[in-house]
Amino acid sequence: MTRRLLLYPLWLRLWHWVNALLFLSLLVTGVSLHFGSQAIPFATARQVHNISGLMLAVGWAFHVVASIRSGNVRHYIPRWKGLAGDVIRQARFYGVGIFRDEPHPFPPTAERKFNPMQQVTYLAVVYVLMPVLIVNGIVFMVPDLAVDVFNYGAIWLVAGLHYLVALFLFLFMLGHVYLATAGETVTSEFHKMTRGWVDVEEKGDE
Amino acid sequence: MTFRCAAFGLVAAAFVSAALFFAGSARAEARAEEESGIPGGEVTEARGELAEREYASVNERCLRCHGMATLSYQDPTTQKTVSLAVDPEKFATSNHARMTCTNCHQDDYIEYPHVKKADRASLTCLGCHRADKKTSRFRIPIFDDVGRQFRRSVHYKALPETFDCFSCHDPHVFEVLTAEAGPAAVVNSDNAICLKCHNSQPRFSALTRHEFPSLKQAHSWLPSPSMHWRSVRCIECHTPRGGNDINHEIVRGEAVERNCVACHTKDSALLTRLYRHRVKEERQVSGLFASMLNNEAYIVGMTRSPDVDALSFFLIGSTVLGLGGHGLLRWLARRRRRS
Repeated sequence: MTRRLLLYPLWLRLWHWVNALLFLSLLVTGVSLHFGSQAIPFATARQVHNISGLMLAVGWAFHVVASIRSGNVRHYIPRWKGLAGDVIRQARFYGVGIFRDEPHPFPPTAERKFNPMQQVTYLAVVYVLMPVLIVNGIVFMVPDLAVDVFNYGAIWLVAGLHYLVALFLFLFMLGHVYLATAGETVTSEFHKMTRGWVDVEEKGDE
Repeated sequence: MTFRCAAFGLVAAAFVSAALFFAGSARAEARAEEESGIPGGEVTEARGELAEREYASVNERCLRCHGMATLSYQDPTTQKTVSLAVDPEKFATSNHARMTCTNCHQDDYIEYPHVKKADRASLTCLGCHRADKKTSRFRIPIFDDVGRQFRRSVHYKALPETFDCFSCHDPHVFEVLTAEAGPAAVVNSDNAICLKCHNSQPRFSALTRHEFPSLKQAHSWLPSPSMHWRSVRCIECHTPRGGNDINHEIVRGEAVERNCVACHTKDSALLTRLYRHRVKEERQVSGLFASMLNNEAYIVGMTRSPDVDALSFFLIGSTVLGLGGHGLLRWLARRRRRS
């Protein structure tokens, strides 16, 4: 028996895709600024980066509030007991099982739409890396703040952290986009994030 | 026997290393002098004990009156109070501290009352600050173009009669900060020269009838102006690029550097100006620690670490390769299953 589950409500899908576009815009302008490239005029890149960054911050705050209010946040909290074993099971699937057409070890349910690897990664990305990136992005906009808070060489710390976190988020994005092709079918994960629902096989006795 | 040989060897090594050390430090001193262009040692060495005494006695005699903070007179034509005071403490730390007053204020002044009328026009900086190898005290021609550059500056063009070296530089106080002071101190000290008038309407209006330009308004196009003012000198943008690093051609309006990438790039114009003394060492030991720890300033596009960049490219490259390889294997596995 199949049941249609709405795992990604409209607000979440909208946030996801707006966030994806902002990631791209920040990536392109950020790289241009970092290398002092003339490909995008510096002043333009700066402005686009600032506006995108602010929008990302607002979007992030919206996502957190809406996630808490709707209970969506529960999907981000891993089951800590036996987490290591679960992550290894998922990793083994990507390393071995996926080539043998084995079933996904943690199919989405209403209570747990992410697999353990996703949970750990998304928790780190949304609740650790993004806030760090946003906070030091804002410090960049008000650099006087950094000088007062940390004193000597503070802006270096902020800049280094901003760069490193952005690098990790870019690496995450690469992995995220690739793994989106590793669902039941190559496109099923993309359908999930556009339509919002997923068909779940349910055993008769459950 | 072996012991004696070893002891002799040790003593010899100590002598050799001591000799090398002194030779090294002498070379370093000469190099520092050559780079700064200010022959610090030369003046003291040339001046014997007698000269030292004369120096002290001349300056002491002058400062007996001119060291009084209140010494001044009222100009009969302008009715303005003109200060004749020299702060002895500031003079002692200035670049001219080793000179006698009469090096510039010619010998007429040695008698009291002064024979010659005080004549500011007869005083000139370029008498000493010039590149002429025979007469100049400066070995490198950094002052070569100063006179020409000054005549092209907005200040001279607006006020050819009244604006001179002393409008900005007070020779009794002027102190060029050395590289060790760090960019922040250099920026602060150099900008203070401009801000003396450009941040004070009374001082500005005393010089000219031109409208007092608002610094904020003029720089409204510049992102984070206060941050820029704290990190770079006014002259970084307000002198044309390509001149020497003490360019005196102060420009305004259209001629001002407004291209962000002039500084915000790896080959930043700041490297030939504000950070000129750091360029050599910086280029030699480029890398994470050199760029992050030796550099007090952060400049987007300029001060980035090549090590971190290389690490980023490596991480991104290996991620892309890893994911691509995984995808390829998935595709091959599926083809095999189907066949």
